[in-house]
Amino acid sequence: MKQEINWNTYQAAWKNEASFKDEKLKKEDIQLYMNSSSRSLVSQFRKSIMLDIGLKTLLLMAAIIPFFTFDLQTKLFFILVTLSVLMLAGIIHQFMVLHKIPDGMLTDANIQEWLNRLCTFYNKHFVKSLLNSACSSPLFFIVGSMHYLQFKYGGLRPLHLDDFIVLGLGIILSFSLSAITQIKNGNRSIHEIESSLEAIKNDEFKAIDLLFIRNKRRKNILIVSLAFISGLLLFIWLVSRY
Amino acid sequence: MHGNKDIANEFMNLVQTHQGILHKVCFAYGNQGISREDLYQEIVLQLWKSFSGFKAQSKFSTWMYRVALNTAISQTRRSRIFVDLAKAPTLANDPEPAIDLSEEIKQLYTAICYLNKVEKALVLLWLEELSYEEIAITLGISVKNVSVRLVRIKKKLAEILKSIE
Repeated sequence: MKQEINWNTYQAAWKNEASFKDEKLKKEDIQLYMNSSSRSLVSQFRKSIMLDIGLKTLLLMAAIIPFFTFDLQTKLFFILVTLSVLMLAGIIHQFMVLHKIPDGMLTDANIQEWLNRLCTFYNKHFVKSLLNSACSSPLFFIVGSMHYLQFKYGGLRPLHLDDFIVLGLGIILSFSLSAITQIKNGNRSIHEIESSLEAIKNDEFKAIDLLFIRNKRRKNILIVSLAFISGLLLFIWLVSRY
Repeated sequence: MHGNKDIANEFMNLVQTHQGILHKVCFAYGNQGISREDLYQEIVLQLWKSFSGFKAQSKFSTWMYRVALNTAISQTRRSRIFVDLAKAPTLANDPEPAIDLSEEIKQLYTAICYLNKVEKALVLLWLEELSYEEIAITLGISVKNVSVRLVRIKKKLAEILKSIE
């Protein structure tokens, strides 16, 4: 004969459990925690964006300094101006995403709403921010190369088709590697949130909804990546023409 | 200046009074992947950050539960939603076993480890004897959904409890 579980026993045990009533946390502990730094997903989003803003700011300064210290060729001047504009646009975009981070986390949101906010933010905004961050790698390479060429040869030497192919491939590879790594890391975290959301919505949230969200995210990644590569090819073509 | 100090003191007093909630949430969620210490820290920090938004219309304990569960569920560092039956931690291999528990709670702990994060939240709120309406509001689902899920979860827990006896 099956023995039925007496849930009242467990509820009573839970309610009366002495360990849960112990005052293990002292005021000093609480104060320490109040002043600690967060390791939440939202905090990770914020740190990632701030890091990229810092990096792009440094690159921007590195791109601007030659205007004042070197006698630049027209071509190099044009390249550095374009890079500076791109970096500035990237910084502005990151600030915009920073403002969209879901905050005032938990006072007004139930669990489903909160998980929804995280997923929406990630898929709609943070993925683009990750691709923006991935652009920092090739920008770092280009700015560094410009400085090297200016310092060693006093400017850009005439480049041939094979030079453009090698440079272009290098830039695409550095962007792709950086993008893939960052997106993989980001996706790993958000998949857990999406799984919890799926569990909480249960029957109302069909597997097809999750597939839709993930396809939309992949589409965003593809569009931004193609835009970056097209912009890069256009840039290389313009540089080769002039 | 005094205002901020008063608010901080008020917050610390409230958290200290209701720290049982922290122990329960960290006990349920702070196992494989997330250390309990980290979870304590994160939950207290999020409570503090959200404290200015706490309106005294609802009970502090209800609000604290919601913040704590939101924090625990959205922690992702090395955390896993579903636990493989073969790999679920028991108190025997729990890296942070410090507390002295009653037999029923030990069994419950083992069974709860097999639940996903959302199921854990439901069980915790049910164990706290919150009404179905309160559970529904905290999770953001309907009362009927709460009732249906609790039946499923109890069945699941019963099977696990019987298998570990």
